[in-house]
Amino acid sequence: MRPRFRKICIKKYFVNKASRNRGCFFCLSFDQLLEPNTKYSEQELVVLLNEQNNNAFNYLYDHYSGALFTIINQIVPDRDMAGDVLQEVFINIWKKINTYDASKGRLFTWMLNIARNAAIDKIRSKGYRDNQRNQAIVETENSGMSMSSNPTVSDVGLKRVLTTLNAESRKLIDLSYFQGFTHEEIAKMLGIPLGTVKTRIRTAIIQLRSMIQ
Amino acid sequence: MNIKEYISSGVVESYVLGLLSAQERFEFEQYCETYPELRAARESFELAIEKQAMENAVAAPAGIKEKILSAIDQKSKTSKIISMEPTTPRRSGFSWIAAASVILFLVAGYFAYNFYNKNKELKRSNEEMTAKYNTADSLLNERKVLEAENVTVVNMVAMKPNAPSANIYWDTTSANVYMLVKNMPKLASDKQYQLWSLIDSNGLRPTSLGLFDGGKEKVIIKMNNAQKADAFAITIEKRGNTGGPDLGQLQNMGKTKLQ
Repeated sequence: MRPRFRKICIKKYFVNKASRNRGCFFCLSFDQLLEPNTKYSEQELVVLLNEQNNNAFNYLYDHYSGALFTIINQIVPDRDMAGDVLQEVFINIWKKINTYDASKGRLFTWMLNIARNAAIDKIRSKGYRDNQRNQAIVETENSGMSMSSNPTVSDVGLKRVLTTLNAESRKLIDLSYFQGFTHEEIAKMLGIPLGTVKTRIRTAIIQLRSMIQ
Repeated sequence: MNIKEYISSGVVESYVLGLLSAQERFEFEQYCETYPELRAARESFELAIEKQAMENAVAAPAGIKEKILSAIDQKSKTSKIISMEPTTPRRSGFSWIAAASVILFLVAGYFAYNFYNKNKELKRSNEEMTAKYNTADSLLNERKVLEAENVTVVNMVAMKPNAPSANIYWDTTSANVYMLVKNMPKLASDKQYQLWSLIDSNGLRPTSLGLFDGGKEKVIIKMNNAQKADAFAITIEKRGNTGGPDLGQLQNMGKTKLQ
């Protein structure tokens, strides 16, 4: 049966080429009926999530929660807190899926940025900082610019790649990516011109790319 | 813009990682629509990041999924009640369409009939209006004639007891002749009145200015033109007369010059 539905799908995908994130509703539901444990393509997933399909959400969580949690945990070192952020992130993804625009990037990129922003919001929130101060965990000796480090995640993902960069590049990526400071803020903090910050971050990022790819 | 330079500037990675300013992000998205190679570079970095993140994923603490699902469930329960209501069966859908189309047909028919009648009415009133307009127009024209300077008004003197009563308005410049009929007794169906212009040179030479039917009152009739006339005369002739006047049936006569 599947190939027959595929045909329809291809046609529909072709028709909907302009908005790639839309798929064929008809065959998705059939696929689901026939194989409840189907792996969804990103397009199918987006369509189903837009329909508020619970199976699709289950799949989304099972598939991506680990990766997103890792990112969050790299920014919010406390595991429980990172878990709270993760929860908030998935609820947001569920609520805001209709604002996802496939022409601007992949679903994972979109979710990754939601996760990163939520995590940065968390560490910047007053409640979080007060909590940190009370626990005297924050290393303020280096005027708050130290790497946010955590034994469980510091050696995985982007952070591991980061360790291969030189100290300066590392600091810049940490400040901009993991702590969410704008280029202007970083320029002020480090006392170097904005143009230099921009150039150095770009250079660091290009180095990153070559390591990732 | 050199797209290759742009791609290798690190902007692609900055975009994907969310490190661009709003302005730069907007620019990047615009360029993506123009340059497929930029889009391709973005997608390839996105895939690399995704792959890297998936490979390094650390399982999230247990129990979070359940919390999220129950939070979502509560939200969707309230919003889904309406959409989950039993949908009306198909057949009723069809009868709806059938009913709707019948109603539509009837309404369309009613309108068509209405429009047809309206149209007929309009046509009729339009014809009426045109007729009225034409009459009014000719009246105005004639009024102009009657009031023009070079018009000679000839009072047709009755020569017989039952003669018609009329005046001739003769425009000596344009040679137009109008007859204002006050009263014109009805004639036998084979008879017609005929207007003549008469020129006085060695006896009266008559020229026909046209035949007309009797039984009319208060109308203006345009007759044939007359270049020259010493007098006008009305006779009764047989219908469609082509010969000369039957002076024995002379009804009216009027001279153009007052003597």
